[in-house]
Amino acid sequence: MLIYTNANNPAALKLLIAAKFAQKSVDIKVVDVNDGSLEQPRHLPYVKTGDNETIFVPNAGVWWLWPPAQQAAKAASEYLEWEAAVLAPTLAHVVGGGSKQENLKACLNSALNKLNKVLESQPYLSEKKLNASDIVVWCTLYPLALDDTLAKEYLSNNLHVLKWMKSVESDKEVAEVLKSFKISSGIAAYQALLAGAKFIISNISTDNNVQSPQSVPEIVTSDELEAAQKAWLKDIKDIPLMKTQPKVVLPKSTERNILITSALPYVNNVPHLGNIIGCVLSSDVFARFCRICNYNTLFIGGTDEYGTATETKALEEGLSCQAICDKYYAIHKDIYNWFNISFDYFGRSSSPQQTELCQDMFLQLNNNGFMFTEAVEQLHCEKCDRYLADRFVEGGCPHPGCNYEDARGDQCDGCGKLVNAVELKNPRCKICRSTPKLKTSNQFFIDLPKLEPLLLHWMKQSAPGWSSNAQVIGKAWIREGLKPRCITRDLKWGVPVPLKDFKDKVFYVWFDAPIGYMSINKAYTEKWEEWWRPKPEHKITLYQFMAKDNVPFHAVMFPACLLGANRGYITVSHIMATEYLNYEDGKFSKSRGVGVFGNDARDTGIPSDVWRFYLLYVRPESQDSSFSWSDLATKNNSELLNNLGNFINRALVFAKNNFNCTVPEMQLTKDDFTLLVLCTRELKGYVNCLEKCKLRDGIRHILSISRLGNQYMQFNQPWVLLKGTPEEKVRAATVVGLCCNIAALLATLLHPYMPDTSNTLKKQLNCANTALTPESIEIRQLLPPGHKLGNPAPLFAKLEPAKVDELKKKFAGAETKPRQMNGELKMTDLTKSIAEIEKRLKTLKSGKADKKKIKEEEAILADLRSKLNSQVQNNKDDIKSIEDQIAVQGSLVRKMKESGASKPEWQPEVAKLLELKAKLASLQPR
Amino acid sequence: MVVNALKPLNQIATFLKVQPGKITLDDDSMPVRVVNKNTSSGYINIILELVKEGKASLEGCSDLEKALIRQWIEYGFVYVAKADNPQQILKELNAVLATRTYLVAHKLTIADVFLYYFLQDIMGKLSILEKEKYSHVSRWFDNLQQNSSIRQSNKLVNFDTLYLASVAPARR
Repeated sequence: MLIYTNANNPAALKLLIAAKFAQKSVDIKVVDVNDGSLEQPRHLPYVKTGDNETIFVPNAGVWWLWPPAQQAAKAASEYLEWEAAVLAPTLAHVVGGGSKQENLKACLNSALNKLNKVLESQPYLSEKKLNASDIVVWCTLYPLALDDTLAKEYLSNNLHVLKWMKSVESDKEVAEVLKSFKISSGIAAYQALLAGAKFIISNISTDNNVQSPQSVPEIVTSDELEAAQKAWLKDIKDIPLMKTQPKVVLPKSTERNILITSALPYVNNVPHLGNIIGCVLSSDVFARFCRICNYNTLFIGGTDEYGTATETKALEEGLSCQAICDKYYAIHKDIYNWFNISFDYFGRSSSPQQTELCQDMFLQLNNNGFMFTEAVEQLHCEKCDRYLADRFVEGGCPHPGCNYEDARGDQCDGCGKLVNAVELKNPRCKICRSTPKLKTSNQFFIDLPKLEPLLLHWMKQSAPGWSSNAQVIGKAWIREGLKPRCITRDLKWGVPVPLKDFKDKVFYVWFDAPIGYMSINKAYTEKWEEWWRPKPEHKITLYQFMAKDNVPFHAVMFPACLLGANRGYITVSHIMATEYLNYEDGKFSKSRGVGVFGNDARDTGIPSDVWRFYLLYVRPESQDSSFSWSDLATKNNSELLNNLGNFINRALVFAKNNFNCTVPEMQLTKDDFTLLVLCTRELKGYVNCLEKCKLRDGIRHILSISRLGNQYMQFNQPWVLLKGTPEEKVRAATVVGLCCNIAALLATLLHPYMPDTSNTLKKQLNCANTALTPESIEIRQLLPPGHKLGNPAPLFAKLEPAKVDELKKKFAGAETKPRQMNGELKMTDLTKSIAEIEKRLKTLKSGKADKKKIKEEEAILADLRSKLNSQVQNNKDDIKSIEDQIAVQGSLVRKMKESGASKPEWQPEVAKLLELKAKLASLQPR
Repeated sequence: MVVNALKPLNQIATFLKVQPGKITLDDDSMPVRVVNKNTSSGYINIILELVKEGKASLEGCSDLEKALIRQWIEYGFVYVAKADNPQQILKELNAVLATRTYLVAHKLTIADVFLYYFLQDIMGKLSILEKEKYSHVSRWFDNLQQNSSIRQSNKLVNFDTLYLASVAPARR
């Protein structure tokens, strides 16, 4: 039998003493709480029994080792339960976790008083002699009694408890165990208890300065302290600075080369916040992070312009496809500029380079034998006289189990899977809604089954670096088996197929769009192949950012093309896909005007940095999340203004008012280095998260640093120290100087998330563009004593609830239109539908169709008629009231005329009368 | 969210077809059961008493199984009952249930039944993705709720993973 425990945990003492009394031999193994090899659920201590079972609840372990006598079992069990539910968690939180919650403290005191009362009249808890219940309670209180200060605070009034504790301690068995397992006094023991038991506490305090009770207590090791001290004292001269970007970034053999792409947003619409966080903003944060780490980074993006969605939009707006692309390209570019997206180049997929590379890729795949042609049945709308591209057809999703009614011809919005347009159930032309007919024409197919072995091999190596949703989607595709996919269409707006017999066809957008990354890179530099067909000495890592609907193209289609081309193209090693961002609790919808779109964000007057911050804070990383106005305001006011902004501003204003805008001399003590250790931990967390593109967590580490800073300042109170003795004044200088340095660290860390704020802060600190060194993460002294600071000013402004409410209303979409309007619309629609069904019924009846079908139609007809009737009734009520008004108004006009009033006097009243009459006419059935 | 502590105990009584008596909470939030002028307090005492009265063989065979049942009941009132944010306990339970069908030994015990009642509200509120994330808890919970005498009038929590079926269907 083996007991696993972390050091110094009083709960392990329970088990050891119980085993001693039961005369069972146990071994003990001291482990770390974070040891990954611990038995689930990884609570400490736990007993590993001879039968290989794990008992991780100490009291259950005690009961098993040394159960109380039958007649005392019930009473003993009560004490065990009380200890587990009340005594241990409160002690762990109040003493071990440093919780300042008054109710917890009160709870602890009343528990001890209660115990005292019980022990007033009896020597032991549940029996006349010592048993398991005494051991369990005693062990939990033992570290408290060992510590003089704590014993004075909690036990001095409970003399009976003290007496009982002494008596238990002097027991022979107990004393023996105490010799073998060391428990130190007070706080450290309860920290060990809290860390081992992972207690949850339901009543979480809202006070920012109280450490969250759920977190494991901060224990700083001497190694960490030493490292922090060493880093701080390093020579300031060799702090690395950010390199300036060359005009054209090319891979270098001596550096880590990072190529980043953002999914190409489709050009037919204004991007909404979900699109922005899904690709461009996420990739921008990562690109900026890579740059502050001095990685050799190229970040490209652009608009995806070919394809039928553009044609649809062009039809809609009455413009040419080229004009639509030009218009929306400018809109996109403008929006991303405003959001400070730091593309090295933002191109477009309708460039000559695209035609060249796309045709080249096709020919290469064709030469390598990965293409074949086949006659394809395609939907053709006679009414519109055109082949219907996938996006021009809608119908029921053909995938089993989906049943989505409005699937598009290329992809179903219901289940997210790709769709073959001809397989749609009840297809209809999107433009005229008539049913299209099948016609045949020859098309090219990419032979994905032939590429599957290559792809499978590649995916095994690459997929571990993808976000988990991308892995799930990618693997599901492979599991389902790849099918040949058609890559050409009878359309005009696209890259023409470079073969004689296929002159009137273009490539399908999913084939050409990813090639856009290469062509955009080519438009940026003629040496684009250095990135896409890397030389052996250049190590390049490709990161691609997108929303999850884009994963199939980046995880399957595009890599298959690159591998099939067999020219040493680089393939993606990190597909970073987000889930969806919802708006409030629904979806963004341009047509219904619901949600905030790229251009709206600017018009709100809220700075782009705040938008960036909030979108990244709620980034739909592992599951869908939603944008909420009130949450935006809360996060702005609580995190940016009260936490981050408050800390930085306080530090700088102190330095300005008391030290003449200069960083004062600092003499760091152990407390200060402890702060640096805690901040270093957060910094490590930040770098780790960002390296893995966990952008949402990265931002939390920044906020934790400023939270630590706020606590530190609150604790040290430099404003008091400044008025004190000379030593206290030195202390104040140290605190302020250290806070300025942490602000300088924050300026660097903020750069990926909030570039404007980062720049402003750097100006206020008058500091350089420091780089991060991920290979050795430490906090250096960035601002030495004597460093001249700039002028402090608040970084953030409060968002007033009234303003937010106003914005929320503005973007909630068109509310229901006035009732009358609605009724009118419905009435004409209803009459139309009724006429249609009547006509259909007639043909059905004359054609002697199935009776069931006729019945169904009749039922629909009856329903429509009753609806129409109720509409008419509503209208009748309206008509009645207007008729009454007309009568009143008419008599008024008549009286005015009779009484000889002049024309200017009665004219307005007549106008009113005419208006009412017009309204009446519109309501009456024609 | 703090779990209503009395409901699970009353539901256990109904499940075992015994009189629940009058069950209340004392100042320390410990349950107290009074039946026939007999008082018991504490979850473990009350639950074991109910099992005994119900003559159901759900209390474990060996001393070890009995200890493990005590363990899971304590886990219920110390951890599950206080979970504002149930992620921690779901994660832990998921890890434990990854390798077992029931919490204790290889058969249904009162520990499963008790935690099933305790987790009722939490499970009902999970999103589809969370149900997938904690798939072992979902499987265990779904298994228990299929027993209508355990489930009683509790709502059947839906574990139909249509999302998974459509995003990652199994090869047919």
